[in-house]
Amino acid sequence: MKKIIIAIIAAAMMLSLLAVPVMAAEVINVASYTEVFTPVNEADGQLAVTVKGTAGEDGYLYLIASVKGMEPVSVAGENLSGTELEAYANGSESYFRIAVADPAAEATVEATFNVPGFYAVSRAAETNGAEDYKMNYKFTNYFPTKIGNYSVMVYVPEGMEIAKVSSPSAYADYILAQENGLRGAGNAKALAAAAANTLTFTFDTGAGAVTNILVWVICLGIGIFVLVDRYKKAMKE
Amino acid sequence: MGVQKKKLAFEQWMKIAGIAVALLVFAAIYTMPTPVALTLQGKSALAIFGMVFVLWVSQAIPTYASALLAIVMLSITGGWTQKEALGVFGQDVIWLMLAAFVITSGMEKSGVAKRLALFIVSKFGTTAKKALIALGIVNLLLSFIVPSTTARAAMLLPICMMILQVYQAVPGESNFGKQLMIQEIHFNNITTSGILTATAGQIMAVGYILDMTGMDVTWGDWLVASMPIAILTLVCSFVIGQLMFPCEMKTPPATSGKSAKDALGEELKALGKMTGTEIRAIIIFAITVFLWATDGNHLGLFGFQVSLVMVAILAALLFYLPYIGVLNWKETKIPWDLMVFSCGAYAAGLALDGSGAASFLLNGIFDKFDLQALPQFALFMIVMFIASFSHLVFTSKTVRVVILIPAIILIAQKVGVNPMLLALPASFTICDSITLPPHCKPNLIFYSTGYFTVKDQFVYGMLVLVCKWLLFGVAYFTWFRIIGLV
Repeated sequence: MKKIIIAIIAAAMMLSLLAVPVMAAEVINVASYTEVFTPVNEADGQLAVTVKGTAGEDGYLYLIASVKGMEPVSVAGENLSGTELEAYANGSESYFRIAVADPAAEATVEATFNVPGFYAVSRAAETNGAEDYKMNYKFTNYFPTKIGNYSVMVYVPEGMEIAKVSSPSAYADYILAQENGLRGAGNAKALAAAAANTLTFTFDTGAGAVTNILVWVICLGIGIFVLVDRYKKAMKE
Repeated sequence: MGVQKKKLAFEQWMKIAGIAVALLVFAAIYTMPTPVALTLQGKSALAIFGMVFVLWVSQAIPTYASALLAIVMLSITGGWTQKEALGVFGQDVIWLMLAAFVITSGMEKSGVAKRLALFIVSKFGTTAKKALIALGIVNLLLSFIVPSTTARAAMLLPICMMILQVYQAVPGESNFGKQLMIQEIHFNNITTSGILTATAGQIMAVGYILDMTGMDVTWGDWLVASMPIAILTLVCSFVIGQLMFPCEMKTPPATSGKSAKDALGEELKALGKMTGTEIRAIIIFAITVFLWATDGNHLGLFGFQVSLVMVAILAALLFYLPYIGVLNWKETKIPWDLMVFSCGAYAAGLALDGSGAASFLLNGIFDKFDLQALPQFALFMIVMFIASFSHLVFTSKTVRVVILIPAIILIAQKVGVNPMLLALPASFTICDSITLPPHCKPNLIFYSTGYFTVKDQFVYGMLVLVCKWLLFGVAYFTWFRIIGLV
């Protein structure tokens, strides 16, 4: 009996040594996760990610590779021991991670990425009206724990405006902002593990000078004509 | 010899200048630089709403034309999608209106509406003033047992129509008709504000107050705090109505030469015994009223829910069925021009809500004031003003509650004022949507009778709400102190 128990304990210890190290699910804590997309040219953009949290047992703080083909450019922060982001995969989920100096304390990572093709979006019209560019960005929380506050802001190219925000649909749930002359739309909320946040909006240049002049000419033209015509008729009666 | 220039009436000027002003409003808003907190969609919705609002009030073009203009412009400018703009026709309020007119036609054709109207008028409404007061009291009493403004409006519509026929009031011309129909809107909405459970928005507001402050508001608390203001507001409504639209007749025309009571009593007697048609109509109406009154208990009673609009459509169906009903399609009087107006107006209002333009305007108003620096009374009056008149840009009571009440509670907490002082009276203004037809379903139902114009309703409603706002000011120093709110 004693031999059987020792054998079981030994087997368990061996199995634990062979176990694939997973992301420290039980300990990782992400207080806030911020993504800001800024256009660089017509098609490409830059993504600034700021993550605040405490590292897992493995001593790393993780960033989710939320855009296909994103390439790290720079990284800075507080309580970090690493100087570069390391690509990491856990099954089909991709991350970037960086070593933390003191795993017990909160660390901050501010990383910048190139996101080629992020702004290469299609242009389409609804059943009526002009064509707009459609932006649809989905972020999934692949962390096994909740993100305390996830926020995203997508700025559109210079000269463009936010035409309509479809998701989130309620005005109170999305944010419209302007930074360095660029208009942007975004939202912020807590994100449970495996939950997704979808930001969908359309953008375009808006009515240009020619259109505005045309609107005024038509409105004033019709307005003055009707005013004079009806006044004359009323005076004749 | 000088030529005397003809002096034009204000209404004539509105018709002359209405289109020009409407187009000016549209151009100014549509071409302005888009504020950061507004989308292009919101700007379009705001421009179109402003334009059609001027057209409705000025009546420079027929209201059904301005409604179609709203739908087209919203779709083309991106203020609302085609699917959403046209989808308004599928909204419950439109079908409710349609069904309400079928019910009214059925009640009218069967003769039971005339009998009921003659009974009410001969007993309680032998003069125009008494008829108005009697209907108001009926509305008030009904509000305790029928917890739906829409159901009460649909219920009283056939009776109001018949009373106006007894008085031979001509739609669009009769001041008595204007007063009666608009006062029904006022009584319907304002009595609702006195009863917590009379509309879902008020229950939601109380929920927010409990969640955010821990303070509970019971049905009795609400009644005690709100009903006195509601009743006084209705008195103001009656007085203003008498001044704005003095009745062109004191008694029903058929009563000349006899006392109104005698003449109407004779007319009632002349109807004879109730016919089979009348009995069938009464049964259908009674079933409808029963289903509306028990709206919150259907699951317990039947095991399934029947919504208000489905009850109305069911009643309309019963009126058309062979053996049961009394009506055919040719006999049904549906004012399609006003139905089209309702669709367009609703679309414009919903676009304003859905695009965020309404919230943008409200936030802008709140930001204008340095609320922390204000004395408590001034803060109270400003908040009540915004809470009440915000209905001008929000067509949905629910959206107003969701945006306003939490914001007001946060403001109160920020400036160190008892949140109940601001949030509870603000909740009493949820039903203040009495100024324009698309603001709520009863408005559309009564507007569709054609007895009053948008301008009539707007001016009358604004005056009544100013009175209510002033009553809040009086209550701050009197009633609210007595009940411990201040």
